[in-house]
Amino acid sequence: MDLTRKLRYLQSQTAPASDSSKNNAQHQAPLMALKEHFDGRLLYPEQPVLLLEHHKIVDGMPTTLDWYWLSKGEAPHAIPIDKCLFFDLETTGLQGGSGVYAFLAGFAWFRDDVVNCRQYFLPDYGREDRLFHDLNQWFQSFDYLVSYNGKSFDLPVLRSRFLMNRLPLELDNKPHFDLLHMVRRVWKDTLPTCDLQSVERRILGYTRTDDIPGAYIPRAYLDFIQLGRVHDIIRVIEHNQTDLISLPRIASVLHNINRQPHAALNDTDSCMALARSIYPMHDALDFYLLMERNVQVARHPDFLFYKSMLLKRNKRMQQAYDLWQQLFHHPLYSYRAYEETAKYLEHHIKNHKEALQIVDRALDQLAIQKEFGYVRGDLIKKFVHRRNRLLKNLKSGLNNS
Amino acid sequence: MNLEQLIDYLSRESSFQSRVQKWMTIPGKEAHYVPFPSTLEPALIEAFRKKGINGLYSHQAATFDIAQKGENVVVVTPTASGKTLAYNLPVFNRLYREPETRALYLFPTKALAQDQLKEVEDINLKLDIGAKAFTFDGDTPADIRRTIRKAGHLVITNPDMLHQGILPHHTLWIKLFENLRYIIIDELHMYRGVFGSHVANVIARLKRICRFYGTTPQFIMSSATIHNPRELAETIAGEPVQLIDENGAPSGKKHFVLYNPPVVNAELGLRRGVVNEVKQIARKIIPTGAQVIIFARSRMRVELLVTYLRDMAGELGLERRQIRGYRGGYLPLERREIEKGVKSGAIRVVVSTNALELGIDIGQLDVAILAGYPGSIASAWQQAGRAGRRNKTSLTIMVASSAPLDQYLMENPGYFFGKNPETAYVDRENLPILISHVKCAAFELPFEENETFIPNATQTLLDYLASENILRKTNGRYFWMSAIYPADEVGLRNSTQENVVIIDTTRDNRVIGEMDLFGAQEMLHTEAIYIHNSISYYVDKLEWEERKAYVHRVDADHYTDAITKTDIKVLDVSEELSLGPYGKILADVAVARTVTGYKKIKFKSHENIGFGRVYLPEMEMQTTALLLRFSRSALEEKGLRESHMGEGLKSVAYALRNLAPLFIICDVTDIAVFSMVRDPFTHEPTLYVYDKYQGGMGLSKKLFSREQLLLEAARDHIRQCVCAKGCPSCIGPTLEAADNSKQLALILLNAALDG
Repeated sequence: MDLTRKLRYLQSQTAPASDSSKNNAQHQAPLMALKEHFDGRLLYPEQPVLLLEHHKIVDGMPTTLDWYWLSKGEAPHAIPIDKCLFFDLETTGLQGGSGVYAFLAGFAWFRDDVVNCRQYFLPDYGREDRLFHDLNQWFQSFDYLVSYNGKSFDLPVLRSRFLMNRLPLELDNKPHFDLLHMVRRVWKDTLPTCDLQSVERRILGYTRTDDIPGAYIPRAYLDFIQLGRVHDIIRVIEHNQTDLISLPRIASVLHNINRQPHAALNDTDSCMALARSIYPMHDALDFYLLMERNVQVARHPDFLFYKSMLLKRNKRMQQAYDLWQQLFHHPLYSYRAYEETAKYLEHHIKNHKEALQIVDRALDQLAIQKEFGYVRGDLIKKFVHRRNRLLKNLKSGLNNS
Repeated sequence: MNLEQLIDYLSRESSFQSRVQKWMTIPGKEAHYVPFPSTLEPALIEAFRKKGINGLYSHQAATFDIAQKGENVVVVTPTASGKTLAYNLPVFNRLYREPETRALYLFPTKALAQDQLKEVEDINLKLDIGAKAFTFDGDTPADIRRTIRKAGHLVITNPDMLHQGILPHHTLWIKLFENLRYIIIDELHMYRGVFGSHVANVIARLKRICRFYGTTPQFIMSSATIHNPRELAETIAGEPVQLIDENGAPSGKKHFVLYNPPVVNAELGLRRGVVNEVKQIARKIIPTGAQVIIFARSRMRVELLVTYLRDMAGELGLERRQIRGYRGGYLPLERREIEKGVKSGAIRVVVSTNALELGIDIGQLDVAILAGYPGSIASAWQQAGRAGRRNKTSLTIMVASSAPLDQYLMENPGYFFGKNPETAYVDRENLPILISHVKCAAFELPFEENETFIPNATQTLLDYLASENILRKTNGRYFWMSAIYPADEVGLRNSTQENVVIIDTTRDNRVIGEMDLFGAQEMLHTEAIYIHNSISYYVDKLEWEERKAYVHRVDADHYTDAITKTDIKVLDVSEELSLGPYGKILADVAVARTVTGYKKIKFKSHENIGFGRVYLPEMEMQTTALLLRFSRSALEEKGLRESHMGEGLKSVAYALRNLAPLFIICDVTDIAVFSMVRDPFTHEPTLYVYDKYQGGMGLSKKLFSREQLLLEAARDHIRQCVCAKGCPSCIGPTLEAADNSKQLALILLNAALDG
């Protein structure tokens, strides 16, 4: 059999191919139903795209957003909120790849206490071209892009879609802040997962009802196209709306934490996670000084140790030294405190005798722990090494005390 | 003892000499240098001169010249002949002028890609171009992937990764595709059969993506010596390709010994077994301190040899752990450890399947022993290439088995050293493979209505997929319409993605390996003895639905051999030709195959010591077959009674199946032959030679035009065989009481060939 015949053989059991553009009438009905349901508008009549607009009053939003610390210095201290474009896509595949189609593109921005949403629903494949042209124009009125997990999913998908239509993506040149990354810095140890719904539930105190699970979204769209089923696609559009409304609210919560960590964040575990992740920043100490206004935080040994190391980094040795003294008795940090103190005495104060006393204290403590079966060979080695060096220096009279 | 001394010793050792059928000494060859081509950048010439290189091998220059003209080229060279430079020179020359140039390198395996990276970087360093070369495979970490996409000039990968990791994400690779000028395909001869037809489709997808980004890269390919390198190159590339097959590289003196084990039973044509002979040879060679690589044809034979050699380790002056096996089915870490051991010399004897035949870096060993003909001349030379250092003397000993192919070569050594008649075949029209790649292609970019992916059938194929709701046709374009990632559903190497995993219940249910479904029915059926790493396992249960085989270690004195039952039906005839005494038909057929039972075969003596039943579902496949239709009346005139025709056909079938690899590069297990005295389709005595692969892989299609060569080789071989009435080396095992089957087969072949 040649190929065509082999195929005919295969095809004999199946119905002939139908060009869906030819039976648009059958297809218009579900689209019209959606339009009615959401009171939307059809753009580009010959290749329609459904536009849904939606407004919601949200109180207590700041006029500028500050995520400087939470973004680890990526964001400036004051971002005008009306220059931020929040966005979220719904797609036909969750794995990525150039065959993934973004059939619903949702955008939101905040102005005068109102969150404005625009959702573009593409009722079939191949409807992107004109929309993307117009979107590129519109994008110019924003300076920043904000998303939830958009850095690894939504933006690459959008970029790929624009590329497939041979268009540059205007958004590509704008600073993009992914709220998921900031959320993770705070809650990765305290929330079971950091997906948007968990954050809504636990942080915004809001629980969705009848929300369509993400895994069903591609199927819902394919059912809409193939069978004209609207029920699930309505749920997808609502799901996307909810996402869009949540984005500015989470943005604002993060802003508050960034500005006033001591007041906005009251569980110590999250505070510590944040403290750890801010630690590498060159000016982290400034944020620590804000954080320690919370008494619980200020007393926490993790915090004390990190702060002491920041003080050391900032050459505020005496203050660091004071903190290490406090940490001698803390089981998790005692040896590191001994070590840092010994280093400080040896190299800064040049008091080798006192340094030796500290090292001996550490070794005594290690010896006691050893008797209880808690052996830290690497630590013992380290301290013995330091001890030998100190002894040698003392003997050779380099000691000036 | 050095190699020269060893060769000298063997040439005077009488017991060894008595088995030597032919000792070929292929003299070394001087290099053929030519001046640097005029279009080569002066700066590059300067760089070569600085390194003391004042010219190119003739084939390197010829390849460069064709590439400079913008044409595609395939260069045919033996191993170690500077092919890396041959295909890199055009790339580097362009990179020098256009630093944004990109090139994509495809190697059949990850290991080869890794190995070639070193060579490419070596040239890069020599020429001081500063091109960035990277390998890209499943193990590449995410952050490096980003760098490669943006800044990798030379991306070295394998077809599988191109298929699953690059093409479906082409928008991330815009830098590569917008600047892609060269596609380098090395080891082209590996891309044949099923793998070849997958790769041809992947290349067609690659070219589609390139068109989207406005580039038309050139192909530069290299292949081992085969009969039809140009045809293969053109099928894989899908466009015309120029051939360079004159090799200007020097070569060392090669000793190639054809070693035929003694006949132990002339009546039955039985020779001493390869495994036993290899043991004898090992006794002579290994104690001299030579590091030896032994290639065995099957995984099973690797395990047997390792077991036997380890048992005699003391006698060989080695420790057991200095003798290792190497084959597919071992876990990657285990393999890396063995490769290292061989390279460092800690492992003195490595017994491998063809897994070590290709470029994996294990250094050079002293002697290569081929335990049985590896099945193709290209592989035989590649295996031989494992022995001896560059341009130095090398020794290869090929031990023939009783298999017809091996014995044919012993009878006709000229075949081995003459022009290679082996044909590589690729069927781009295998429907299941084609459909799976059309799906992948549609995922990557929507199809236009008038687009051609495969000549003459693209539209029908797309409409079919649209009617199946896999694609969506709208406004003259076909879009991918499914939530799945189609490349994940298609493996390039196996007939199906599905595997049976092998679970060792004696060691905490550890997974010790996996096997494809067809193989599993034969080797892992309940009650089978499965040998892995020279350890015997008894299969307690094959859970077919769950694709799991539960095994436990046993100390068995036998292994098992599956018995299969076949049923065949003609679906459609594509070509038919009557040649007088016989007719040939190329047809699509449905073959139903079941494993019905197994034989227990004793180790060493190989006697049949028992039998068992197997209950497994029938596996059906549609494939292509070559039908050879003989004339009953003509055969009767020649004195072949109808009651004897069955035996005659069976005998010829056996010879044809076993000798087919002489003309078509394939494994004996890739084809099957089936015979019917009263065939329901032709109503005449008929032989079916069919591809053992769903949808066919082009084997019988190729044989359709070369069947006469095969019939003649079969006749020559049956005539020349040392046995009296037929034996497993020519027409297959015969029953003692039977008539002279050899004679029956010859009557049939004479009637067909001479009329």
